[in-house]
Amino acid sequence: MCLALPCRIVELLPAEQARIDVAGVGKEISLALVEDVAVGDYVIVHVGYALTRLDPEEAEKTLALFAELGQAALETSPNGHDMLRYPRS
Amino acid sequence: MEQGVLQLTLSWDRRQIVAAGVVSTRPAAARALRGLPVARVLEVVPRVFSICRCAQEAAARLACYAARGQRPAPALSAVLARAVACEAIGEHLWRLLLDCPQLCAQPVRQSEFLSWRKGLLAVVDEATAAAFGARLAAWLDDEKLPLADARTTHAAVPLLPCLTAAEWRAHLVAAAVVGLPTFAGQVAETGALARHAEDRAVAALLNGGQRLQARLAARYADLRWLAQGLVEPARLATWLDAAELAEGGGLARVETARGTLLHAIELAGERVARYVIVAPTEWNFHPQGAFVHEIRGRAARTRAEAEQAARRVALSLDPCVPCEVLVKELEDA
Repeated sequence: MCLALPCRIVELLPAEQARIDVAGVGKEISLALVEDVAVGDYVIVHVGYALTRLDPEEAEKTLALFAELGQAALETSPNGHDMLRYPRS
Repeated sequence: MEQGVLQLTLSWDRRQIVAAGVVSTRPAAARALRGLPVARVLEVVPRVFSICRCAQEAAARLACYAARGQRPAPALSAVLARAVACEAIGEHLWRLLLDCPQLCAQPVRQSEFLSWRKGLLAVVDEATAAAFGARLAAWLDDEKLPLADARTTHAAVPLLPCLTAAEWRAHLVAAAVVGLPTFAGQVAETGALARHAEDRAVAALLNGGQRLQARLAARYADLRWLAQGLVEPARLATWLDAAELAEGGGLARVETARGTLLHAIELAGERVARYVIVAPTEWNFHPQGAFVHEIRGRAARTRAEAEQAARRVALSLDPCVPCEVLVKELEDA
């Protein structure tokens, strides 16, 4: 479904690498696709690469959204998904 | 809410992979859109589905328009189509230049990828798109198909036909079973291979049983088609469309690098009553789908070979979330 959480850069490493924090666990990623990234910045990560840099405000909004949607998902249909009534067109 | 992973479990008897299982922990995120105002959906979808943001945003917009019995203005349709095409090109180039070389013991072509990525970011209108498309087409003429895997496979699932949104209406209920989509009662494979199975080079590889290689050739065919689409933008109109559903419903179909993406929405006034997303990964990593069929019977003398084989097949099917591979040795081997 292509979901991607913003991840915070916690350490810059040699060779365009960096360490990010994923739910309290450190993970090494490549910074080859993004420029001017600093410790504390948020990035969207895809298959080991930082894909885009987000400004902190954008990242916080997105993280809040994930939390909100996670709560909403728990509160909706117990079988885990919406049931379609289609086709009726 | 987490992004989830695909857990690929292989049963291995020290000679071959005997069986495989797929468990997805990807959340059914679409259900969290239920109850939201339509305007909020259009804000939430691209922010949450940020890996294939353009395709997801286009699908959400088109589905919402269709649900209201409307169509987007031609100028907006063109912008959406161009963005989706550029995103698909970027994804294909990523797989071909960064991911495939790693699994084929070839050097990663990072500087080439970075150059293409900069070029894609500079596409802002028809003129820049056409220039980029022409440059990509010329590059593709000189590209040689890398050898992914010469081994043959016998078990293959049917390819998902390329349907319009209107044609998808009759198949939506079966496709929308979350994590278990079927078409005409069967599992199916979506992606570049399904779109280009008729291409001469792709068809020859398919007929020869070289499905991994055929998928790779299909990626190049897809790139050629998309490059031409940027030069002649009217062609891209077939890449995405929408259709009305009964009682305030809309269905959008958007092609992506990974395959067909469907969004179905049902409105209650200005709010979402139901929202369903069928993503390509759900087809290709169905528990009885293409991955499971294709990995079964593959020779592997070591645990590492088994894992490598799984990663190769998985990469060729291009999941949108990370894969975890677990090799279980059969006790009676």
